[in-house]
Amino acid sequence: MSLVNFAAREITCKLVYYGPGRSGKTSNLQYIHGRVPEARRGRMVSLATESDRTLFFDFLPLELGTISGFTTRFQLYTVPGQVYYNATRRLVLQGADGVVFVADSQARRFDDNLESFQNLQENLLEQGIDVRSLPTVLQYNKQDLPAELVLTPADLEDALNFRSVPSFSADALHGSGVFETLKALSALVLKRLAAGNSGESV
Amino acid sequence: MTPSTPLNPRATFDTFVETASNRLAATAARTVGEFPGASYNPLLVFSAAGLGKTHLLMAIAHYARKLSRGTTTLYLTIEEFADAHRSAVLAGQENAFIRHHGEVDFLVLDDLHTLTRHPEAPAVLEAVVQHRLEANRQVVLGSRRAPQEIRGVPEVLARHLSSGLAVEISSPDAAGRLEILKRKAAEMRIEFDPGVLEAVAAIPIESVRELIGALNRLAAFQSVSPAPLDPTQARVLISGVTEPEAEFSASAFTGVPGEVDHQERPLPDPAASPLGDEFGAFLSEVVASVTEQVERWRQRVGETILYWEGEGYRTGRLEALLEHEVPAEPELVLKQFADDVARLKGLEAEAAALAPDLAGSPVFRDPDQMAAAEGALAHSLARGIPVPQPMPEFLLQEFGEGGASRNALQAALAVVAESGGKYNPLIVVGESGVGKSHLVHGIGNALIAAGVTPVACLNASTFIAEVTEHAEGRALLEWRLRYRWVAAFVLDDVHLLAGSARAQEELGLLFNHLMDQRRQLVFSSAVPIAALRGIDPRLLTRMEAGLVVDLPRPDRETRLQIVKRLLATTPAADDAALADYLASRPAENARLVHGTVQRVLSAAEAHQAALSPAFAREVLEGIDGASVRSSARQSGSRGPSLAQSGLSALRSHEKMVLEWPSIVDRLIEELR
Repeated sequence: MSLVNFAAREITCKLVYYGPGRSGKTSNLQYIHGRVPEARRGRMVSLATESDRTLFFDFLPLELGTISGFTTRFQLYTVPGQVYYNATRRLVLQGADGVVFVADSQARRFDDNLESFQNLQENLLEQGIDVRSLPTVLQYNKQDLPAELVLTPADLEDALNFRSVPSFSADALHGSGVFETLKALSALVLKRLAAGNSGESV
Repeated sequence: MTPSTPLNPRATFDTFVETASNRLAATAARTVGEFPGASYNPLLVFSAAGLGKTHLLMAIAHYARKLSRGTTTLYLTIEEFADAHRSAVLAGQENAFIRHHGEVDFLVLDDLHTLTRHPEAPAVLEAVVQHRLEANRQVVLGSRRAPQEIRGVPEVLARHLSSGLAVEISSPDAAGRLEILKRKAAEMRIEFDPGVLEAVAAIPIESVRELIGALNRLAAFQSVSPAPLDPTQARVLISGVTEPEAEFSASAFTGVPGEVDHQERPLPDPAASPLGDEFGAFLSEVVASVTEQVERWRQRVGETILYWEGEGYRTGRLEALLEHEVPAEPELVLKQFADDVARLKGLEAEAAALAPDLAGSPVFRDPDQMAAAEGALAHSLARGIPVPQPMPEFLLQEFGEGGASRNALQAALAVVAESGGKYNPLIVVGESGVGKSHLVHGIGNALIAAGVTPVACLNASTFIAEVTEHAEGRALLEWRLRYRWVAAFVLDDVHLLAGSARAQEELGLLFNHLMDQRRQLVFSSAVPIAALRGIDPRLLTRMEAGLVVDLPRPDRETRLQIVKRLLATTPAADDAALADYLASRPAENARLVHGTVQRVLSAAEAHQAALSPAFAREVLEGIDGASVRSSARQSGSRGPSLAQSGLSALRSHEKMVLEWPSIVDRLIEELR
């Protein structure tokens, strides 16, 4: 999927937002989408149910223009967080260059986070991807909620970040941490692509 | 010894933008590069971070190398210098360290202001600088502080520093900033509307590095904006003031209709966000990151150039690469270059084994002149030990062509016409004496005549003996080299290799090499390939992959051709009846045909008799001896005592050797 194509002068990156249902994946994309001025705003494809739960996935293509002679595209996806949509999650994960795991910081969602994180690793392994080699960033969302309802970033770090990947506290609805997360993942992915690990012509 | 920190290939004087704030430093740096050790020694360049100090130091090293290819330069930070010194001390090599750093042509040390962080560094640096100044070798130093502000500098070193030249690079003024922006924009091939760069240059950015970062930001925004930036937008963008209605914000979204707005809470108004133009900042970082990653190949190429230059190889091909935009496959170009250098090393080693004076020859230092290197090796081989040659008396044109041998001869002629091409290897199979040796030696001679040289031609027994004689070490290497560069390799009686594993192994290696090089291989065997025993199956398989031709027993037509050739130089050359009679004699192979004719010729000479069918019949069948004797008497001459004994002697049961000046004339015949 991803590649730095020297011949065609193209860079394409697929970034996937993963996490349990209602953790804020779509909110991340909507916030990013929202930061683009009205005149330049296109459409974000979001296939969801009426009760606003992501049924299939969200898709946000970013045409970043020509950089150093390369047409650069980022494609942002979310996966449906609900347990029973695992086939869709696997489909969306195919060819991903990087993953943002959006954890719900609420204490009551702790097990959901663990389950989803485990599911991410299982789905990656099923596709023959070594989770250690895939650029991954953790986002601890909803840190804006009252302290008595959420786990601290340190608690979540202990539970989820045993690989010491970059992690960010966030309030995706209001934008805090959203672009920091995206920037961190983009840097990891671009670094890896240029190092020739994308599996395609680099 | 201490490896130099790789120089940034783009940090040259050509890419250094001179402004009023750095002109003095640049001039001094150029002077030092042109006349090392003669003018400003040591030269100290000091400035705040990000003003081009390191660029200038590296440019000096590049310039010195460019002016004199043999110049050795060492560029290190003080930290690297101190680390290397510690390692040398631990290894008990401190004196060697000081000597090495004292003797390199150019020593460039950056970050002198960090000297006091390494307690042992000041003293050793003082010793090195002292050593170098005494030998008029150039020292160039970089620092973020003026020399008098650097604490912990030993007194002697301080004196040395004050005896040279210390120049400062200050922050560029508005005009300098504009010059830098224009130059870098041109390098990036980006055009801005009039007034844009001037607007940015008016912003008091002190660091050149930050200024270039600002330019990257401008470029990123303009690349994704529908219209070029105007000066106001540029100023707002770079000075950090958010302009909500700015039209130059980035990103275009494409997609299919069907946007679903399903957020639980209303989305914030981007313009009202206290976080400012986040997407712009994100884009700016992506631009920087992509640029860095995409341009990384340039750095790799630059490092590769420096490495191979250090190893003494010419790097014109790689230098040309840097002149272009992103090549299609930079990694492939680098790999090809490394492969070519490896090939050159191999050629040099082989040539040096034969001619030691070729070791280190410049001809083996330019990967773009591979043909010249191969030519030098071929020349050295020509100077080396000659390979065994085909026997000159075996000529293809004298090979008896008949119905039975026609196929084999046609194959031989095809090999000569297209050496290394169509029939490779060619294997001639036939019983002993049918003419295999004649044919394969004849091929060798024909190839030489056609300019395919050198040709090695030898018997398998000789090959085995040579392998045994050159069993190991340098002798084995040299022996191998003799054959690795032949244009054609002819091995007679290959079936004799059976049981000789070592010789087969060497033949296998040689076989592979020559086939890879599309050189011709010719073999003969008295045993059909499929029936060969005691030969490595891999070798047999390789042989069978070529053309195997049978050379059967000579038929009458073939025998007649042989007889005619043998009689060609005798008075009976035109005696068709004699030739016909001799060809009609039973002979299982060409060698017996030779023997038959030789018997008649020898008897005629012994009796001084005229050659005729009757005489031949008498010699070979004992018929009408009286007429033979009569013929001898008519000749009026007397032969030697052996001949005087008459045909009775020839019909005795003794074994006789008449003469054998060469293999074709050998005749061991049991006479009756």
